[in-house]
Amino acid sequence: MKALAVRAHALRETARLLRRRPGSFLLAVLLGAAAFTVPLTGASIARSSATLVQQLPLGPEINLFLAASTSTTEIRQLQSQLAGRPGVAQVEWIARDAALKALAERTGSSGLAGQGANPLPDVLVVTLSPQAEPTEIEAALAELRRLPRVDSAAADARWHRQLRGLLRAAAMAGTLVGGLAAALLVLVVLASVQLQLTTSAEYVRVLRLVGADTRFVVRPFAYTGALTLGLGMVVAAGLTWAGLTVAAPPAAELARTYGAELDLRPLPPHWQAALVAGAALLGGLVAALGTRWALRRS
Amino acid sequence: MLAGNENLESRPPRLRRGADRGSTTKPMTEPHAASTPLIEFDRVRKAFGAAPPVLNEASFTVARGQFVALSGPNGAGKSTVLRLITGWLAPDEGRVTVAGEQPARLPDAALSALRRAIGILPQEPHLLADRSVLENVMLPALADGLSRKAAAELARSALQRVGVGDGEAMPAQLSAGARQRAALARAIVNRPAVLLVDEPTALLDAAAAADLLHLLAQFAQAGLAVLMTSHGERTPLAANARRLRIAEGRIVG
Repeated sequence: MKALAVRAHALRETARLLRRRPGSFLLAVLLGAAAFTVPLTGASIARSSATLVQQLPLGPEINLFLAASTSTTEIRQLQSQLAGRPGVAQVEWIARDAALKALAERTGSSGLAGQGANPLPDVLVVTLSPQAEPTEIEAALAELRRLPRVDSAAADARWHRQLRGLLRAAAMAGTLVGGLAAALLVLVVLASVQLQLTTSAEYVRVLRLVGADTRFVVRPFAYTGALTLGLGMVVAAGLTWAGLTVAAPPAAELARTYGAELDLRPLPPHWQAALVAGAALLGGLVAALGTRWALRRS
Repeated sequence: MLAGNENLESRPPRLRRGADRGSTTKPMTEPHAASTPLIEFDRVRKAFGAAPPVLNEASFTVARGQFVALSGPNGAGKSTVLRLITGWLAPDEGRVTVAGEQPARLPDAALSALRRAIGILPQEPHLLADRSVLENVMLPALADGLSRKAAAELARSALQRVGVGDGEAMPAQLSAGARQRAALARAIVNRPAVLLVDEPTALLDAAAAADLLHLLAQFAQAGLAVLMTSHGERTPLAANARRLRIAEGRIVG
């Protein structure tokens, strides 16, 4: 009962705080929304393009060119043996006849397929795990090269290296944007709390005079912080939805030109609800700590 | 003027300091007989920086039902005495005891509870301009965890006792004297056993000052331990009041 009473009072004081400086509160909400929108949009795009990314050959590939005399049975045995090795994600056999046919189709040279002797070897494409490090790729290449019936081996690690670099850069950029957004959000809440404390100095003085404990004093400011970031996240979700709605058709059109499907969509509603709750929690926590800190200094 | 004087007697004052918050402090209501000091200064020394001590070997007591007026010139240490009682300051030496407890040694929660159980009337009323007088008076009760309804009941009763009406007016609509009485209502709303009053008549005209002093004397008669600081020694007091004076850091009768 007592807990309910003090919280009910805190809610009324929160409303009073907001009525006192509605413009400042609105500005803080909009700043919060601006800080949330970039990472939220990034997360929505990342989730929407997850299927597209999964289609990319993320793992490095080692091509094993087999000796011409290798029989089909031997190739199948080797394929099975390689597939069981640790760190190998997939082993694909490109039969020499199929390779020749594909080459002929690609080059438009029908004469190639009609030649009596097929100059192409059977190839086993060994796809390693996407997490494989360059040293592991080199080691695997050296090992596979020594296998019986393998004439030569070549690693297509360049694409893998580029992709890894790209993903690392994206992750770093994401971390940077996330960090900057978090710092901005903390600053927004702290500045907002400081402003409210300044305008509520008399209220705080009276509460201390009448012996209100720190939690009682802090609670309305914490609620205001929670509302600021919670509403900021709601506005950010709205902005993200609007932005993705506008960007989805041209993005899908662009993806189709690369033979891929891309459907830009906001995060699912329950994710967004969790994010709003998380933002409110963050706002409340930062505001509570900021208020306690300010009270201790005063 | 003290419309609800009988209420004060029927409701036991409660300096219970954190009794409902798991504090180790004990209730102050019953165990203290009328002669038992509720406030006790025992050879207290307090200095600020390198300056001579404001209080030096200061000793005095205020018991239940006593009205003590502590006078002294500006900077003599009157406010320091009040701040030591409420635990905002700690003595350098000696002991300050309120209802058997030393405020400066209490943990935060118990100290807040103690402050809620001490009525404080500051020199300026410090009524919040953005709410009605009633809502101002309700604040200590709300801070004590009471529901809005219960706090409003207590506040109306306190306002009635000091003669400010129903409290629906805004503070700016009241005269200086009425504002001070409203602040007094706020000080007594939690039914404290100790009332600290800091130069209450400084901003009032003679009639309003006399009214307020009469009220304070009646609160003392009703059983509160009232400690009032005042600038001058000529402040007219009721017959039951005891005068003390701060002189060179000591408190003399």
